[in-house]
Amino acid sequence: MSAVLKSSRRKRSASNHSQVYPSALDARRTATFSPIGVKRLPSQDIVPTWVRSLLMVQRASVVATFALAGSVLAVYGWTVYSQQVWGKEYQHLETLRRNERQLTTNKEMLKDQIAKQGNRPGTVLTPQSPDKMIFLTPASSQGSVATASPQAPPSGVEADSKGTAPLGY
Amino acid sequence: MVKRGRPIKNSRLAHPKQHPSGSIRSNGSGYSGTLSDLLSDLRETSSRVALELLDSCHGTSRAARLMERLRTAHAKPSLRRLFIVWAVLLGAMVLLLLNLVRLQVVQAPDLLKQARSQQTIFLRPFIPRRPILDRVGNVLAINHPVYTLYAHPIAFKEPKTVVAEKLAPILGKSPGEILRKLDTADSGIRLEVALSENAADRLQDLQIDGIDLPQQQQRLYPQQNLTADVVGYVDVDQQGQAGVEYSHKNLLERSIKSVRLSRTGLGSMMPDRIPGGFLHIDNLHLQLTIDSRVQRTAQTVLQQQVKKYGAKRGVVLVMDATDGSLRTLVSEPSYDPNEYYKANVERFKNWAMTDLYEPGSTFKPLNVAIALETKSIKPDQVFNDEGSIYVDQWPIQNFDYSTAGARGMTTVTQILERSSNVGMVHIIQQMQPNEYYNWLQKIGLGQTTGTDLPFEIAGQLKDRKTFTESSIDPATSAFGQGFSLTPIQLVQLHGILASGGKLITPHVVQGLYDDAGQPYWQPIQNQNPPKQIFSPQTAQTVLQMMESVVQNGSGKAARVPGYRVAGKTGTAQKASAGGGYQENAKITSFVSIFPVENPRYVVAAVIDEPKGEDAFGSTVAAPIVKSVIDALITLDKIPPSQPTGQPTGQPIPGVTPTPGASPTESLAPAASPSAEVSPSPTQ
Repeated sequence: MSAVLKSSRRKRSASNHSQVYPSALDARRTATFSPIGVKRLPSQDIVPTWVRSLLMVQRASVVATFALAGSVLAVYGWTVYSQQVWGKEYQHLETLRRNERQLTTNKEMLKDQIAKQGNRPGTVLTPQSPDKMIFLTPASSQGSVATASPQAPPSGVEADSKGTAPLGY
Repeated sequence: MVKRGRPIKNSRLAHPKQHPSGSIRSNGSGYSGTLSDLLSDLRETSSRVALELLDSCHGTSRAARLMERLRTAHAKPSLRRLFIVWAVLLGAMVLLLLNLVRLQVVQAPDLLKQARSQQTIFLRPFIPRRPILDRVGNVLAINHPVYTLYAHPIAFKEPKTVVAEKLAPILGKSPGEILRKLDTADSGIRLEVALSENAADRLQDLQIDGIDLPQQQQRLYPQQNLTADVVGYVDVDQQGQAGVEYSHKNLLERSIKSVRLSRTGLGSMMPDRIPGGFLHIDNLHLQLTIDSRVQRTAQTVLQQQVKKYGAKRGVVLVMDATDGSLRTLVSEPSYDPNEYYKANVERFKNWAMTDLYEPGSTFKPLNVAIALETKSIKPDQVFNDEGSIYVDQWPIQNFDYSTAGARGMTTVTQILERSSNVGMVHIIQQMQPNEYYNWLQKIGLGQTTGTDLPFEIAGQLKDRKTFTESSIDPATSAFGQGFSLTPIQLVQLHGILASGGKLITPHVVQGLYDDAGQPYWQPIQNQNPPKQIFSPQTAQTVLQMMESVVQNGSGKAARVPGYRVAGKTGTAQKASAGGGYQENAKITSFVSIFPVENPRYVVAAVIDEPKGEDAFGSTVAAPIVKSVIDALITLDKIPPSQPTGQPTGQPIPGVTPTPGASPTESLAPAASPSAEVSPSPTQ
């Protein structure tokens, strides 16, 4: 932008010069053709290296500035968003903790209630007792057929294990 | 406007050269030159417009003069004016500075406070007291948040009736009732205590101005009175007052730190100031060695027996002799720790730790073990049981002397089976009183057991001089009178026999564990090797004698078909406060060790002051022990020692099993009372 402005201004001032101070133009003309020494005019097309490198730096810095600005925006947005997400997730965690507490409490209270019901008269629940338990001695390693302890009373489990029905899939 | 606008353009285009700003242009700054062009054009145009206006209003000459003056006016540089401008600017600066000082210095604390209160919230995360679990993972104590509802009618934005109508369904009360409460004061009315979280949420959703819902912690004991004597309770300030809640409060309490968090304009929290570890609440819980399933069985049976015999109180203890962990500790009557304020204060002490009693015959196996260990007697030695003897002019006789009379020559096993006092006196007389006293001290009489439950009291044992000088004291100690101990110490002493001669410490705390079951902290007593008191041979010999007591003697009520159970009954008279013994008050007990071939459990039941003619250790306490053993067998899946329906017991050296005794016999309550001692006077 500024370069364009400058050049247009230069042109205008040059035209002003030509109009307002014709003598100055004459003087330049005489200098160009003076026999004392031919000075080569600085060419408009040839840009010095240092200017070019500065331009390169400028372009690079513009790109870098845009990239940085973009990333700053992104990081800022992320911090805001992540905090929002954190707040939401924290509430979720609190809910889960509460559910866990309530489940534990309710489970234990139910257990207590059922155990108390079992002690009430007229209940169908009976306490376990050793004479209702069946202990099977492990089968010997050679015998393929499971043999119950000779002392143990015959049981349904034993009968099943001897039968042909598959034990499981 | 359009008309007036045109001359501006024209004038600029028409007189470019005459422009006064041509001089600026000449000094090279073309851009500012165009600006000043524009400005001067504007000025020119405006003056012309003003002139035209003035022409049309007043005459031309005055206006023209004024404009001319305006155009030609030149500001003369004046020092005064410069100074005034400078002073005004400086004054403004000073004022701004003063305001800055006021905001930053004078009002800073207040403003800071205001900003903080708007931007920050104090988050009080719910960090509960650690839960207490039993050995199989049943929750015995857990915290949950509750809310108290306060109403401040002065801050209500709606009429009281509307508020009452809104609150009524959530509180489960009638609007009239709430309205009556709201009329009592202007603010600070406590409408409801211990509101649940869900109810509190619903109240908050109503968004009523003028109600307040502060959060509190509440300790919940889901099993109610089942483990009250072990776990204890916490008071309204969450301070443990009894049991493990008191003795292990350091392990249970977690510090609650409120965290200050920033808040966004929308009210959501910003986690930037959260301290490390804020989200991570350690998931440790205190695990006890108590098994609430055995505990429940024991409690049920104990309640039945206490009711049946009209007893004052009773306690059942089960200890695992391999490490001293208590599987069960039930006391009756008990209390509900959820409503501790309703209970009698006396219930808060666990009398298994705090009350001393004379153990009576349950101590006899220990005396036999001491005599065997010191080699004062041999297992197969025979003693003459006269039925009644005099020691230092004090009569000592067997409880059944009036019916059985003198029993003559009896073995050590028979002395235990029949719970013979005279026989025990003879056994103890084989030892020097001094040596006997040393042994009583060695097994821990007169000391505490060192258990981890609070308020334990040391047993009582007479001093050495009194004990050794007279021969009556060793004689009464022979059958468990003349000294006192707590029920838990009785269990510890029998634990010596059950553990192969080691003095183990009964305890209820297994340690702090995380959710995955990994130990985080364990008590030191679990790591120290226990002190060896008796040799394993002595312990095993006495155990077999005790097995014979259950098979053939006074402990028949504790027999479990197929299992080898050792035990000893005890029925002791209670010492009265004024010295001597109370006539009708007795304390019955039964201690059992099983299985004999691989001793693991010590089960003790102590019933204080049962009433009735048939109230003995064998009738009151032994059935409780049997039920508890049944429960242990089924829960631990302990296989039977021998086939049911066959005679039990291995031949013990010197032991002649009573013929005809068979485990298949019906388990009628033992016809013979276990032991009764004649009053042994205390000096």
